[in-house]
Amino acid sequence: MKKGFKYDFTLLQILLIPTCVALSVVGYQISQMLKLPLYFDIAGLSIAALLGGPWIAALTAVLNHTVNGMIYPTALPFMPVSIAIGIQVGICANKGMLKGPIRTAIVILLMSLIGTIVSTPIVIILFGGVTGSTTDILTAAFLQSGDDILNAVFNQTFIVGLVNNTLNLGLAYFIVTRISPRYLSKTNYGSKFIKPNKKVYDLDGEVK
Amino acid sequence: MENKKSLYPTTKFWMLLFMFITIALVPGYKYQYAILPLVLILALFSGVIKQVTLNFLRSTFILCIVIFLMQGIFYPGETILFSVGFIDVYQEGIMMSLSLTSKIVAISSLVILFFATTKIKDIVFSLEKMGLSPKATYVILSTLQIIPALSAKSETIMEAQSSRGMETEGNILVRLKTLLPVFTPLVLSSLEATEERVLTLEARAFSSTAKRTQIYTVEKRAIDYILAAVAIIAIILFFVLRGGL
Repeated sequence: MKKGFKYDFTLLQILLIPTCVALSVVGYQISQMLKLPLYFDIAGLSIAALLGGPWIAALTAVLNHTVNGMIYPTALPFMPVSIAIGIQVGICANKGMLKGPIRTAIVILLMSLIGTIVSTPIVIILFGGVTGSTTDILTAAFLQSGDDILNAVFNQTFIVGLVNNTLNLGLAYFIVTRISPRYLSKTNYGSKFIKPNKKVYDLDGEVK
Repeated sequence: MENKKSLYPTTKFWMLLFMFITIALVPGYKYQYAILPLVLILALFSGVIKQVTLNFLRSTFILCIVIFLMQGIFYPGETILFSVGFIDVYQEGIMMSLSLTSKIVAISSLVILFFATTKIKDIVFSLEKMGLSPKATYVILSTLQIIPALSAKSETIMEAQSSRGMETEGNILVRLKTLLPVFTPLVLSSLEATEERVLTLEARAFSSTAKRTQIYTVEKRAIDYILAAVAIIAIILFFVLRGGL
């Protein structure tokens, strides 16, 4: 299947966007319902990146933050963070970087690094180093131990991002590998997640 | 709210742009903090006061409190304003938080007011009139329809799985494990639904490039032109005066 900016916007691919945005919002709701300290709000974005590729993921990020921004305007400035992560995961998945634990670990490290580099200046300039979530305690702890605000926010975002991205990407990968091959083959980037069928059938449809 | 009373979305956009520019560039914090009561008064007259207050408290209020705490305690300052136990609160930190939070409060209250008083339908219509592709506008509208549907579905799945013995309480590992039996069916079923939606849309000539007619329209009125012009002139004047000073 042809890939790239020109070919990625088929109707099936475009319809991935609303579904994945909704999954992100619902993922956030579920993690609140289960009282989890981490938010599964980029699992939807990761699914968009794995199936739809980097550009669909970038649009998912834009729409996701716009929808969140209607109720939580403080989510709006963080749009570039999700766009960057979406594009990066999409490219990495397309290049086959999710095969094997070492490569996957590199992808997660990259995700956290990119997310941290993009979000740290936003957090410091706009919000004075505060994100409004419970992980601010970690920033305060770094500040207390003598770090300056740049280092404190950077370390906090990186550590939280590492845990968060591992779980989100793990969840997304787990689910994507369970989607029916019929659907995966229709998306532009999903076909590499189809598990090869090892059973060999004879003409009567019986397993040989 | 009656549609006739509402302004055209782009008119509101120009007014918002003027507000954002002044909020970002006017020094101090008194002007910025004056916007919150203004927003609340406008919300009161628009009948959305409850929604605006609730969203504001949920999104911005706690964040601002944390900013005050963090900056007040950790900002490198010299003048100690007051001390609570062993914690010193510095004046410089408080000044810094005031200038940060005033902008956050002003901008986020305006954004909340904008989305509370503007129908998404109207925004999408004006976007399409400005030349955005119908595919894009469909994606925006259907996102807002899918979210509550998927949210309801996730609750159904959760109940169904707990009736099969899934534990939703316990230590963090137990709760983390419940994510899989909730999330997997949710994603799988909603993706299958996309496939069906493609067929439905194509059966209704969604990808056709012929000119579309609108069943829902918003008209610009005289007041829209006047207010938009005033806002644009105000933006230009603001920059001219600032440059001259």
